[in-house]
Amino acid sequence: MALAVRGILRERFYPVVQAKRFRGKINIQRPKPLHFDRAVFTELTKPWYLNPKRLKTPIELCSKPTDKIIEDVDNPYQRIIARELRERFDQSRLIAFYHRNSMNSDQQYKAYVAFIKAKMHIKTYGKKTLEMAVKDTKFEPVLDFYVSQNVMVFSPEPDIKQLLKVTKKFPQMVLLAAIFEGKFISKDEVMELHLIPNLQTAQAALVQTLNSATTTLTQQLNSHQNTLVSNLQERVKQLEEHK
Amino acid sequence: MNIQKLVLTKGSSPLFEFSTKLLSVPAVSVLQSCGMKHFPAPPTYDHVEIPERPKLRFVDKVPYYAPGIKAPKMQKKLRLMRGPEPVHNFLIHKQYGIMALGGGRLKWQHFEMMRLAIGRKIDPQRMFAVWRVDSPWQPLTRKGQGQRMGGGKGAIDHYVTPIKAGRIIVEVGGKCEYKEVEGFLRDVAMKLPFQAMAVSQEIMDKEKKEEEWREKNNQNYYTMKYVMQNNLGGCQRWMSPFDFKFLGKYL
Repeated sequence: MALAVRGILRERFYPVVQAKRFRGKINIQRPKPLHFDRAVFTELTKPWYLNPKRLKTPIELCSKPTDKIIEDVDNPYQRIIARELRERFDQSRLIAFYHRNSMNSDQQYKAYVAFIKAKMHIKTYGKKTLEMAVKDTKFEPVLDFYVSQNVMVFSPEPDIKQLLKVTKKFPQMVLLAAIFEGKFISKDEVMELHLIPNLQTAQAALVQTLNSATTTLTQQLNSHQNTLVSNLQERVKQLEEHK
Repeated sequence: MNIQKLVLTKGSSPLFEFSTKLLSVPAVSVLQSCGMKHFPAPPTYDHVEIPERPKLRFVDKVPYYAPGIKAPKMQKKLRLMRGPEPVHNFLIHKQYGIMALGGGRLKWQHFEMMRLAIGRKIDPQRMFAVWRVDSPWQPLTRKGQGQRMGGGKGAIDHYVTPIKAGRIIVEVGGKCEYKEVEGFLRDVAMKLPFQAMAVSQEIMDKEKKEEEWREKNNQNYYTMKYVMQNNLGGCQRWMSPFDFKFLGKYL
């Protein structure tokens, strides 16, 4: 045992420390081509990403991307025009909506002049401006007409006769509907209103309808007396002629 | 087109379908829309203050040493060009500038080129430019032509400024848009001795966001950083001390 211990003590272990320095002189402007191992590591650690189209349906891929369409968020000028349009809607007692087929500029100007002479204003607005003006108001159904070329006529007086008179001259202007005293009316209703001469006549007609039951009754009761009176009057006339 | 559709739905033969497809003309639908003119107000630069001297100042070829002091020679110090720029990597005036994309050295001639080119192109009334680098300070020595090795270190030949990747070299600002300055800034950037590009604050913000996105959405679990830090494949055997610092991103 003592011999073993002496053996261990005799075997000395000298640790060797070798300082290894890295010769790192590189040319930053002209870098050395990569060593094969490093090139392999570089290639393997290259990043890759999931295709954003992978979970999309064919219709999403083939239809036009809506997020690329840039719409004006706020156009101050358009807001002003929309406000003006709104005021017109509130103040005009008669508003007519037309579809405008293609017309010459000359014809358009003549129409404009004709309406001005009838004290009406012909106006063309875009759908977006109209939407801004009438959305969330009682006039919102107007947006349903606005499909193609549309034109509006604003009149402070509810003069349907004049309106239809002017419209007849321009067959390219097709009347769609109107707002009469704040109420939507279709084209047929416009024609009906056109036939009514004026308010007093309409009131008289109403009164007549209301009294029709009583008037027929009195007529029937007095029929014999009326015929007798008329016959006697005729006889009086005959006798006077003979004289 | 409609006729084609009707025919196909009747359960026609594949040959017929093929022939119709062959004869069909690619249709391009163009939707025209008309909107109200909108002229948005131009951007205001009222917050920008133009300094007294709007053009770039002249830089010395040789740094000033007190009289009687011999100009000291210096080590090469390539580490001043290696790696990313940690400090001067953003725009102070948050407008436009030139950013270095690689490392290198700027000599006095480069400074002159930049000073004259930018000075010619900017409108001093409403634009200004500032240096974001020091004038040349690092001495580079050269031995005479045909000299043999030995005999001490060579004499100072010229001075340079070492640049790291990501450093802002020059900043341009004032009451101007990026489109106005981009042209001449790019021209100047192309003439520098390292890869450089004309940048604006928006570009830098966008790049930062994209970098974050790329880091987050990389599907490759084994990035160079991960591989080097975890000694995968025994790569630490051949990695340099700079690789331990920059983890493969910079040379």
